[in-house]
Amino acid sequence: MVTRGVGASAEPVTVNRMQVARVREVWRVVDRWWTEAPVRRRYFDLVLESGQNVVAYHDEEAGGWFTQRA
Amino acid sequence: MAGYAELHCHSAYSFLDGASRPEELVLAAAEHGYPALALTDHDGIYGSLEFAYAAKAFGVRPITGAEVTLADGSHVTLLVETPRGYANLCRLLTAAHAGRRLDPGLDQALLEERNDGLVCLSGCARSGLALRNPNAAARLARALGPERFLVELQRPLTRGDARRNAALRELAGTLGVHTVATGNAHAHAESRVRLQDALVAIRHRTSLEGCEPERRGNDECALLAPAEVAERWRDDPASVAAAGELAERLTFDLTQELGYRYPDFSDGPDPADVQLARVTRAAFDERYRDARPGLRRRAEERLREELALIAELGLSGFFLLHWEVLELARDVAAEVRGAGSPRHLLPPGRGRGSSVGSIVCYLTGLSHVDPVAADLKLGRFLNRELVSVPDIDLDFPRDIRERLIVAVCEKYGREHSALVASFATYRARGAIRDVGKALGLPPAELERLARLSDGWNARRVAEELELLPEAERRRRSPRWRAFAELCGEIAGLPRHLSQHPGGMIISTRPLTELVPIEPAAMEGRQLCQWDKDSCSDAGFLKIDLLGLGMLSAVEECVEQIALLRDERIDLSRIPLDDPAVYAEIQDADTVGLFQIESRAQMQSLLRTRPENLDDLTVQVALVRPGPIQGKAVHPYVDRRQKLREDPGFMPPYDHPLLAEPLEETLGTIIFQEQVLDVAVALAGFSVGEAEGLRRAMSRKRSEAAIEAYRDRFLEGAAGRGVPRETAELVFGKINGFASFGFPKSHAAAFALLAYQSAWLRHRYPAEFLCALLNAQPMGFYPPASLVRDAQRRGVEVRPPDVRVSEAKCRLEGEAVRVGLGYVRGLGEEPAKALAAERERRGPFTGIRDLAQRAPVDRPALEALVAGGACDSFGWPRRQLLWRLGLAPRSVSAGGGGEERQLALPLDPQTDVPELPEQTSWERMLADYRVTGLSVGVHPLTLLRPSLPEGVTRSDELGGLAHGARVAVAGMVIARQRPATANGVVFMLLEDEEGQVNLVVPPPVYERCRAAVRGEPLVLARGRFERYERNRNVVVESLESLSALARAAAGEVEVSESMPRAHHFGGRR
Repeated sequence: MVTRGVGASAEPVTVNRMQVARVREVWRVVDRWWTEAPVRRRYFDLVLESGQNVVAYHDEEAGGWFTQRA
Repeated sequence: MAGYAELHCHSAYSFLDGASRPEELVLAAAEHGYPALALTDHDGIYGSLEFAYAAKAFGVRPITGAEVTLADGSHVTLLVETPRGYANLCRLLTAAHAGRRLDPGLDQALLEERNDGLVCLSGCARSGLALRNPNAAARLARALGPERFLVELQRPLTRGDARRNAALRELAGTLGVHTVATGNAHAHAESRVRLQDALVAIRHRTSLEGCEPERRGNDECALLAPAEVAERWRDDPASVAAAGELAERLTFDLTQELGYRYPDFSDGPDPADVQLARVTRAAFDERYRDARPGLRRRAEERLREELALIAELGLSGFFLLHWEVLELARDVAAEVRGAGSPRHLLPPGRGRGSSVGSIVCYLTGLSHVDPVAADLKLGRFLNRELVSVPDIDLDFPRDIRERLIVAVCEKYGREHSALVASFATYRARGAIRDVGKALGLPPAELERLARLSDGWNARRVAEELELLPEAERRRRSPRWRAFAELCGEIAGLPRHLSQHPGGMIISTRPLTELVPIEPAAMEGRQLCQWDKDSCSDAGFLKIDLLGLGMLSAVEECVEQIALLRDERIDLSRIPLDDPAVYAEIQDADTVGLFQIESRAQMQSLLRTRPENLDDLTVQVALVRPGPIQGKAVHPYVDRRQKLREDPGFMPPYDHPLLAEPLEETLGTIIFQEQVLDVAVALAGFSVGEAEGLRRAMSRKRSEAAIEAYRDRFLEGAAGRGVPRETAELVFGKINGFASFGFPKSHAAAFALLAYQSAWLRHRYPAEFLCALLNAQPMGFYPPASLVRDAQRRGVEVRPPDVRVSEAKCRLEGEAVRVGLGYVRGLGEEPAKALAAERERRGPFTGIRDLAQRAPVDRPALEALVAGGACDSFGWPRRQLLWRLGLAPRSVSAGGGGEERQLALPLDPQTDVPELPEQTSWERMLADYRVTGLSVGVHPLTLLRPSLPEGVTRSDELGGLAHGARVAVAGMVIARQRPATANGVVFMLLEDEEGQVNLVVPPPVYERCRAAVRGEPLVLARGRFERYERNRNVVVESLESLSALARAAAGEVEVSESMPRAHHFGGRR
């Protein structure tokens, strides 16, 4: 995955070697902060240039980008 | 283009939802550069006035509003544009709460009808009306028009924002209205959002894990900087701009005149001044008919002066209103006390506070102290520079007060009167329980912590945890780390609406247009949504109708004396100089007496030895934070002692100018009005200026204002030739005193009640104890200690007994019979019903008869057996319990089918099992556990044989030399950690012979904190100190006696059954 920007403003540009055609929505999940496994993620609902829908997220706790099916 | 303004923001007055105080929100808004900020708490404007004042102070324009829940559960955001809109908002909020306590819901039709001056936004992202019911939103849009109805868009960065906002934009287009962006802030900063999560869990009475759907799911509900808002809405700048433009329109200022007026008698046939003169003249002729000519002349003069001043200040109506309330109280008192009651000689209530210095108050029945005879000054109460209406507090016995509150409401109308609210705020114990439960921490561990937390500052729970065992384990756990952090944050936040002890607001204009009114927990009462500070800021006249436990006790005592002895006591005519009464006071034999019973008072009494009511007036005012912080206590006590030893002793004054104002208190500042007198005498302040200084030092301490007064004080003193260091010293004393002291007039009123309680206890100890037990909770000592003290002075106290006890305690000859109401688990009404059944159908003949006839449930019957109330049936308690289990029930106690079963006329045929007799320990512990007191053997009598060698009894301490090593053991009845004592803890132990004072220095406290704070039975070793007549044990080590007691009691749990010590103080 290729991204642009840093920190809270980072967003994906290329996913699975496909250009991101549109960012449909951005949301955040912050949860389980009181446990050993806190969750802090920034999600992107993306439309790739292939027409495929994909959700990518940035794991703000551990670092790194991940994708999942939309 | 107008800058963005946040139009949807919740403070902690959205109870258990908003996580920040109004001031924190305002400060954040100011830092972000917001031109305006709206406060839109759920269904109320509880914090709006506080918010408005804070916002103006920080240069942010406050907008008043509320997020209102409609009857179908959906939300709309209402914002005030005009004064008419504010009145409508108050009316709507009142309607939303009417008949729906804790579950407000506004009929939308009412909003469609009454919305002038209001702007309505279509509601939040979760429960907004536009989402839940677009047709209903369309109706509102039609009713308000496009200028005053906007579709609200929010972007909390949750999945679905885009789809929702697209639908809302479409709706706005269809309705022909604008959209507006709002933030729905619930915290002033991102760092506070975790607390918001926890509050959601607390509100739903579950853990954080258990409320995932209800939580917001991220940390985006903080107040954002305008740049962040713009970034979030970069695809819709018009909605952001709309927020700023709308804010510019919303110029209503809540801090300006609300149009409040109290009923001022201006519509009567004569002017209020004439009416007041007539009322006071009539009373004057009666009160001073037999007065000495000198006193009468001075009183005449004083009345003339006061009436002129009151007329000049336009306050005649104010006094007439109080007089009218007192007249109402007279009627209520006559009704409550009943015809021919021995209490009829007593006034219905008493004034306290500075009003006691006024002859007009004396003549209108507001006070019972003759200010001319008692030489009380009017200064603070009334002066030409008065900036607000004076304070008048009225004390009533509790039963009269309960009825009076309802009577006032009925007289002035439910639209025109309401009680003042107060907000229950988080302290350490509540924070530990609620936050701990939200975080899913072990309940038993939380309960242990909560029990240890008496006197903790919730803000410092983290530090306290570090000092407890297993700190390292907790430190490693993220849940415990979060616990420590969140307890600190939740400290002081309002948890729910509660009721002020007695403040009432009465208004000529409907109060429901000035502040929303909602039902109180107690049937028939209603509260306004503001606390006393907000009411004061709004300029409302608050009449304090306070319930005073000792007044109830004194009244009941008079009644008991009449019943038992047929003696009618008129407390206004008892001798005020009874040497035997003063002898007890001087010996600090004051357990149960009003105001002079605390440990600190006792220690002081031994040295000051009051000889008359004037001395007692000083004494009542002496042991208060003001004189303590103003460093007046020790100098006063020392000088008083010197004066006793040498009548020619001249007390030193910081400056000769202070000789007059401080003469009666031997050069120290003890009374509140002396702050004024000193400022006038030393620095040439006017009375009004001096009152301004006192106010600056009071509730909302303003450092800037105090500093300004300091400069003025030093300058004024210099002008009178006072050396700068002297002026600095005196100002320091005044500042230390602040307003944490009594006015002399207030102290005089309390001193009289203190003396009356002492006189009654001395003459009628059994009646006094009986009345005191019936007036609980009150005072410094738990009932268990009051009983022990009375026993030591020869009063026989009998245990509760179903065959003879009433619900309340009563006298049996000269003995006090404890009432059934003391049996925990029974309740007052069932206790009354049980006594009524006995009255109706004769005494209970045995446990079986009781079980069949008593209209109480089985657990209550078991509690009666366990607490010894069935001992007189002649069987041991265990046998009784067993027989109770076999007894059929035929009485409906409102329970299920089991309770309605008809009794079988058969005796149980089961063999009586062998049940071991309870030991003395077990019986005594059951007494304490079930009734909170024990009239039998003292725990220390039982424990004494097991104590180590050399433990001294309290009555043997007198024989020890100063500095002797000593060990004492006892039950902890009070512990105190005053803010003014530099970390020293004072404990009061009780053994079988009396009480012992312990002084626990900070290092010992740090070493033995668990035992100091939580143990009911302790053994203290240390050094015996004797200063004149004061005796203390300065503790060097302190250990729990729980294990020893447990062993002595035959492995029965002891600690849990013992009464909990009263805890006082704890500010750090």
